Amino acid sequence: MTNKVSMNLWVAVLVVVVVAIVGVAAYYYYKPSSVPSTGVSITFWEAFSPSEYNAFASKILPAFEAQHPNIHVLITNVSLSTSNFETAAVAASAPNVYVDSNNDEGLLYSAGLLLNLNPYLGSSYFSQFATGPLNSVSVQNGTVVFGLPLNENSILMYYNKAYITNSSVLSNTGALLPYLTNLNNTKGIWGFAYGMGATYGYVEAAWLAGFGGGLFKYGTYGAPTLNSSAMVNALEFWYNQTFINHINPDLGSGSGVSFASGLEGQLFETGKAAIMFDGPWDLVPLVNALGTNLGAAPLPKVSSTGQYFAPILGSNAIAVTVPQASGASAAQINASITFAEFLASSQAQAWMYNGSGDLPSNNVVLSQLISSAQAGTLLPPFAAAENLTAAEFSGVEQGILAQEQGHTIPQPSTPQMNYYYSGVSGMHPELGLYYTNKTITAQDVASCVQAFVASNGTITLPACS
Amino acid sequence: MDVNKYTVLNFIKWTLSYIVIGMVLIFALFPLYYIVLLSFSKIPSIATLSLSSLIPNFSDFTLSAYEAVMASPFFTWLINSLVLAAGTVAVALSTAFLAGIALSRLNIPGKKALIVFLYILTFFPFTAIVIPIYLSYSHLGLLNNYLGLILIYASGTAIFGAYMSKIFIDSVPKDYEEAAMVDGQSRFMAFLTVLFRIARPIVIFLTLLAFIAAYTDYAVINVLVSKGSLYTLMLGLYHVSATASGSQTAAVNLNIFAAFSILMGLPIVTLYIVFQKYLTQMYSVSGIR
Amino acid sequence: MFPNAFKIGLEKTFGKALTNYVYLLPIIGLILFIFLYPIAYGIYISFTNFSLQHLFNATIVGFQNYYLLFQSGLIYPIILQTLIWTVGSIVPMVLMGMLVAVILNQKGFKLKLPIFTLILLPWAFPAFISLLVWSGMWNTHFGIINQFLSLFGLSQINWLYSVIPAWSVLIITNLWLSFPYYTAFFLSSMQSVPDEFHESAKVDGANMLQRFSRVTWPSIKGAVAFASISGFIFTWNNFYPIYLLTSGGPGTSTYSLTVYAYSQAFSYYNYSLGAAFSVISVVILAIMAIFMLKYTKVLDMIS
Repeated sequence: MTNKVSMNLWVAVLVVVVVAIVGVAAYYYYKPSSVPSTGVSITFWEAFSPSEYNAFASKILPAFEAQHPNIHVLITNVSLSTSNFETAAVAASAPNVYVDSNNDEGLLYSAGLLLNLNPYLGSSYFSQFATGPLNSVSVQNGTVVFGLPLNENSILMYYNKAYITNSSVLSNTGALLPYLTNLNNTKGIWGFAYGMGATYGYVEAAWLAGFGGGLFKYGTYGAPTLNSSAMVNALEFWYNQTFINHINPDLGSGSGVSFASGLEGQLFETGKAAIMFDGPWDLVPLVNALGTNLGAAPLPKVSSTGQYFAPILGSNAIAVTVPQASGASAAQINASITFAEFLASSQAQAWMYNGSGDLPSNNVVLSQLISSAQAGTLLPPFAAAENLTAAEFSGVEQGILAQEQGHTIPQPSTPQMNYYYSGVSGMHPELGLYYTNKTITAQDVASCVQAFVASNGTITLPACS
Repeated sequence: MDVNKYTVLNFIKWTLSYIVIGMVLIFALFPLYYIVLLSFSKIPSIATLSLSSLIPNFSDFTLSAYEAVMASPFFTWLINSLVLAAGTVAVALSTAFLAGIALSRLNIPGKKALIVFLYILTFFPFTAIVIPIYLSYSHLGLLNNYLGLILIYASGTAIFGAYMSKIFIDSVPKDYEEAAMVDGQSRFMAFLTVLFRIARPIVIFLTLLAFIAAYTDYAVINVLVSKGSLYTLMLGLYHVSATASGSQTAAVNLNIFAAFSILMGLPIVTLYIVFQKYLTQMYSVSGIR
Repeated sequence: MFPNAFKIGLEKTFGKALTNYVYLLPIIGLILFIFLYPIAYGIYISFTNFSLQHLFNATIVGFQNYYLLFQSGLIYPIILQTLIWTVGSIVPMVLMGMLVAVILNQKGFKLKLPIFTLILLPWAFPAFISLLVWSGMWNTHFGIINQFLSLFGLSQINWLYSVIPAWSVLIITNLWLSFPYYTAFFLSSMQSVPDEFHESAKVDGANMLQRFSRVTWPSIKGAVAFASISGFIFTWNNFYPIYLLTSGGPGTSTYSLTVYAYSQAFSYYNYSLGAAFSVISVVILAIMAIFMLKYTKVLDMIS
């Protein structure tokens, strides 16, 4: 009996082994057929918003193809999945050209997946970009530039003019908070629509600054300091607005809370909240939703400390993948750089602004924008379509520019920066514990995120709760 | 006396039965009711949703969400989804059924160990094997290729399907195929013609499982397909509601999401309704013990 | 497909037993094609330092990842949570599936077919979509469930922020997703019991419970065991309910091994650590599965 069983087992094992060997042999024998092509083909992954994509597809791409008929761009829309990029890189099938946020790209560069563009383009090329966005894609004092900034981004304060009729209250918390409390009492409108339990590192850093905390101590590179009284005060500030002053709703945790694409945007766009924090990248949907009621202003000063809430200044940048990760030939690398240059050029950025409201990183386009906003003559097509006058829209854009030109935190894209981002996203559960039940203290949250960031992501964040 | 007691008990039994089933129905249908209602409304978000919006209000009835869905390449995605699902059903069903025949009728040394071994291999969740699959698919040219996807989906259903077919075939008397063999057919053909005919309930059950696996997948296709022309409804839904390229605003429009979901769910629900009488017969021939 | 001459030739060469493997070849080939290389690779990288920082230059580090898992102590609660998730999901599913099937199977139940069809709908609807809808319904401030509870004067529950409510969310939502499957499974196996069995038990004076335990149960217990075990295995690895509803929170209290392995690999890019988690998960699951298959005699049923 046992003999028979073991014999049976051996036959089964034999069959599995034979099938496996045949499979392995076939795998190595098989060669995918190469596709013959004329000219150079490059692959491009983008995660443009709808309005950005329209500007890209209707203006920028046709102009590029007319100028470089021998370069074929194969476009793929990926919905912000950096992890797909890494998976593809392992298989040497990552795209040749890639657009993502500067912090994601900082991480990819540190992993050796992106080219340093400085040697290819020369240092003088980069002088066309504004300092803030350029810094966001540079490391080692600018000798390494791993992406060309296509825009500049930071959060700012969008508000509804129907509720905030006196814009002077927006300048400091001492005036703003009582105003919003009154608004809540009289009209039943939320003051803010801020999902503090689902916040991003991008947003959290701004509150930190208002309480004397510097994420990177203004330009000092290295690990951010988060285990600080500033962090604790920032967390408590939002606890108070939500559970003491009741001018901010508890939007819960999880996905789909932040910005115009989430619950925050839904509350703000439907007139249930007076203020939301969002960036220039969401200007088009917000103009569409609020029309002439949309206002924009920089984040306020914290009256008790005398310091400003200051957001991180970053960018979306176009990067070129190293051959090891994309399998690119020398010709494809050159074509990729040509394509990246074209997208970052002043002409392309001007088109992009008209289509999507993305704030340009190119000095020439940016200064034109500033002067026409000051002159009150700015009116891109998406604003005209909502019947805004040039004077009205220029006012909105001036608010946005005031933030980007005003108090911001520079963003050195070290890997730590990205670990800070994933640290803040990863601390959502801790934020929930703190905000809702106070089963842990703000200090616990702060030290937990710090430990995660300092370990370069090797300790698993939730382990510290 | 006895009769009275019986009638009272009977009454209680039926009352309880219908109450319980009523509650189960409310539980099962409420979320779907909620989706249907949203799809015909102008409500763009849960932020504007209140209890009163749960009562249908025909003056607010609108098809605008459905119009927005129709503005997207819905039918292209639908055809893609159906092609993918049909391929999966074909591969899963044929491999599972063949294996079921072998397990039930043929003398196969070591089959017990073999079939458990294969089952255990499928315990590795897709999330754990996605990178190596990507590697080998990239080598074999199976990225952005439905064949590659079909093989993955089918491998998920095939083992379970083999077990189900085996249990079913066990219960079919051997006379059936012996009678067929007398007619001079080969053994294999006899199996197929006879069993496939009798086995309709089990075939339909496995068809539904394989169909759903392919039709509703998001995780696998999101990694292995990046070409817009190969998008399925699931990717399309994500595309329309998360990146919102089908609408004017970047906010997730709950009503459009709901309308898309309803349209996407319709083909499966139809399949269930058409096939549900077979689902209740899955074992009526087999008699699993 | 296989002409007789060809078959006879094969049988001459390899013997009849081996020829019978031809029927199994498609499934063996399919499973090995999809799983063999990835699993070997997964086991291999769990012994390396493969991560974003070592994407192209990973080296073998021996048992370091496994050591890290056990030494940090994190894995023990996650194993426990995976058990809570799996058993906590499967027991209510099977019980509810059974209850509904028993009720529908009663002779004389009216509207059986339309009701059965309606009950199948949650199963028929794409789970990914249903989960997103449920996630909105559980929202603290704006979710319809809290709004409904407030009708009865209950205060808002922060469903996703505290441990017990978060587990309730997971288990109730998962119950909704899957109980119709068990109803269909059990109902069809109950219908294979001939009516005469029930009738003769009735004549013997057996009450409802006795008839269930004497007639129905013996004839469906195989189906119940089979469905429960395959459901157990499926639920153990079921990723989306946890990922979309709680993302493992609050804290780490609702992570399962599968979800944790995923977030290690794809949120923090510690691929090797994620692989080690997966390997441990599969080893535990395989041991339990073999034990259950043997103990319940389902193994004999399926092979």
